[in-house]
Amino acid sequence: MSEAWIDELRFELEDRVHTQPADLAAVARDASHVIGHPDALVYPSTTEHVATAVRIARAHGVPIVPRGGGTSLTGATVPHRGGLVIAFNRMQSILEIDIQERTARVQSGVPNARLDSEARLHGLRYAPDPSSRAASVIGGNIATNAGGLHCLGHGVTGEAVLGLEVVFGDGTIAWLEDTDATDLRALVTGSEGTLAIVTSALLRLMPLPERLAVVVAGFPQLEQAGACAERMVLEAPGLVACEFIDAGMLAALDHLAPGVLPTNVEAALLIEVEAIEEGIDRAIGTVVRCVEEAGGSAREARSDEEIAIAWNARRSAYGALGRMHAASYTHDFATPRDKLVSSLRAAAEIAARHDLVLSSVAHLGDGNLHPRLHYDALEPGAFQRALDASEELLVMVLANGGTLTGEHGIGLEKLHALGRQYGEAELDAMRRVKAVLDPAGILNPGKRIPEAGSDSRRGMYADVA
Amino acid sequence: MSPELRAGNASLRAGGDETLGAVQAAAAVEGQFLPVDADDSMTVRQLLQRRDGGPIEARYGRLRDRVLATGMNGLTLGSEAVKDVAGYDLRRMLMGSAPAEWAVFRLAQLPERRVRLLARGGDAFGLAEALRADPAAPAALVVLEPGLLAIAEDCGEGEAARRLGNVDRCVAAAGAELETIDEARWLAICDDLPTTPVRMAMRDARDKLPGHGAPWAYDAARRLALVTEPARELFRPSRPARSPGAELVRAVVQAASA
Repeated sequence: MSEAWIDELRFELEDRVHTQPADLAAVARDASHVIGHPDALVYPSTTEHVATAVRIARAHGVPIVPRGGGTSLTGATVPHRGGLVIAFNRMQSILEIDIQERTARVQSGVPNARLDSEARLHGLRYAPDPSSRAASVIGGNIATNAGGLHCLGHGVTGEAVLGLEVVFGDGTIAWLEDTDATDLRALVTGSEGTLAIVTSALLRLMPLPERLAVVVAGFPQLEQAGACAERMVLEAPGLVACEFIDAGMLAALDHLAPGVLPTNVEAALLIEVEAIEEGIDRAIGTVVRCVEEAGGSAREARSDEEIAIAWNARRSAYGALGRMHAASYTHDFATPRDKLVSSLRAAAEIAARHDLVLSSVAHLGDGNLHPRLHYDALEPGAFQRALDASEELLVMVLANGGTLTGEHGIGLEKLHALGRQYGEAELDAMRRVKAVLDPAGILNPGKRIPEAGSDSRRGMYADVA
Repeated sequence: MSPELRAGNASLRAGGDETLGAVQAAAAVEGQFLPVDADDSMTVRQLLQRRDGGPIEARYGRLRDRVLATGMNGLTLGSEAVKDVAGYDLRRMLMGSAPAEWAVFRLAQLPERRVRLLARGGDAFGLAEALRADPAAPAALVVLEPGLLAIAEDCGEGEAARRLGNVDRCVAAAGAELETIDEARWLAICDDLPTTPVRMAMRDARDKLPGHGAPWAYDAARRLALVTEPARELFRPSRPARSPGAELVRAVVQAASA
């Protein structure tokens, strides 16, 4: 393909620009169910390269899709309108770790887990830990304001972001700080590359805890796990993680954590507490008491190895399901904590009504649930049934006072439904903000917020067709 | 509207005219509180206008991250879910720019023990650094003068001996003297702090701040220099400092507010 804008890109960015079909195929899709059709791909090495690409794209009205690790489950990094993909594979430098200040300055393409590993060499850690952390990168984590397993105690990505270097839609470069009087840093965080492209970030690191402990709990009934979680959030000191695994998911994980995760229960919780030496026994004792008084059984993981097995199993949940179910649709909703269990029950009923198998994990302490619908992709109409069930799920969650997404984002997947959560006044305000920061509308267009005039109550992925 | 506690969600909804005292009283029924350094007479609207929860944010996180939902300019922003990334985050961006009509806060557990201290004498910067380096670091540390450090600790009874013993030891090693102060005095100190923050390394603060005539303080746990608005530019770090233009910022706020 040879178009003027691609020629200009090549002139300015030379061999960083790619248009071969095999190269483009690598960035045509992410972990969602959508496939795009990019026209060109650029691998910048610097923020200035990104700004150059944005200026050229703007001059020609070409859509830009920034791409991190490509792990989006919502189609946020799919170039569904063609155009230019800016991929951060060559911006993987940890620019600085300041041990005394407990900060890291990194380029957007640094994988989350690599930053954490590097920080741990200095007695520090990068706390936000999405399950995809081995593959997902800091830029993508910021673009979705990603959560994770330990965000209950340590906060989501946005709480770790102290500063952002960004490129706006007109190609200008700016540095946004959390101390600015108007917090554009927070606005850009979680905007899925639709307001600005994040090229580097100043991140908060945390010291490693003096002591931590993991308690594995099993409950005969889901409601008992929910009651236990609610109580622990109110009472357990140092509670940093409270992860729910349902029976279906436990069955898939039994080979990964034999003897560690409970069996023959309806729900399990993986609970982690942190404390100084003098506080750890009390923290564990409170957790065990909450579990037992809720009707469950609790067991403290006995060694670092056992703790690692338990968390590895939890992080591997979706992969492990692959040996039991050929195709799945993963969801991300959040509700007030006290509505989470009833939402999980309702999700199971919805799945059954559509003749689908459901298994779930949830960040129970955060009220963030991830129902996973399983279907037979070879069966005609099965995927559509999953989409129909998904529509019912989101209606149910919103009726429970929840939100369409707790951490995965809107992307293309839930674009149609944002008008159910927000009114036109709120959506118009968001559109006006987008128009200021991206006046040409080239930054990841058609994602995150529905465009003016679009029917915001169409079906899932209706905007892709 | 009276503050409405949702204990199972550890959240509370309050009107803009409600006082912080009413909020704390409602939350305390279930052993919870909104962790901010602000007087009970302050209203929710004033608190959100201020945007800053005070030095105690170092232990409990930013005030802006505790606002799950709010009403501003007739817009309803956020939800009662603890995690919510739907739409653009206008609530954090507008906080301080527009008056809040109401807010839903995420609460924290009330600590069993709250201790507020002043350490006089010695090198307050060095003392703050020594305290911060320990795993049992206090909840908040503010260098008020080169020889005056304000210390806040919130903890469980079982941890108190270790945490306060650590403070005693570090203060003695620094050649300073310790004075216990009450909550009212602590809040008065917090209330007097200059409010414009600049992220600044301790090594820079130690050199730059004491030599500057304007009121200043150094929030050692959050690594923030607190200065007056005119002094802010003097202390801007040399990191990539291409701030977005004031015109652009105004346009964004206006777009969200129109």
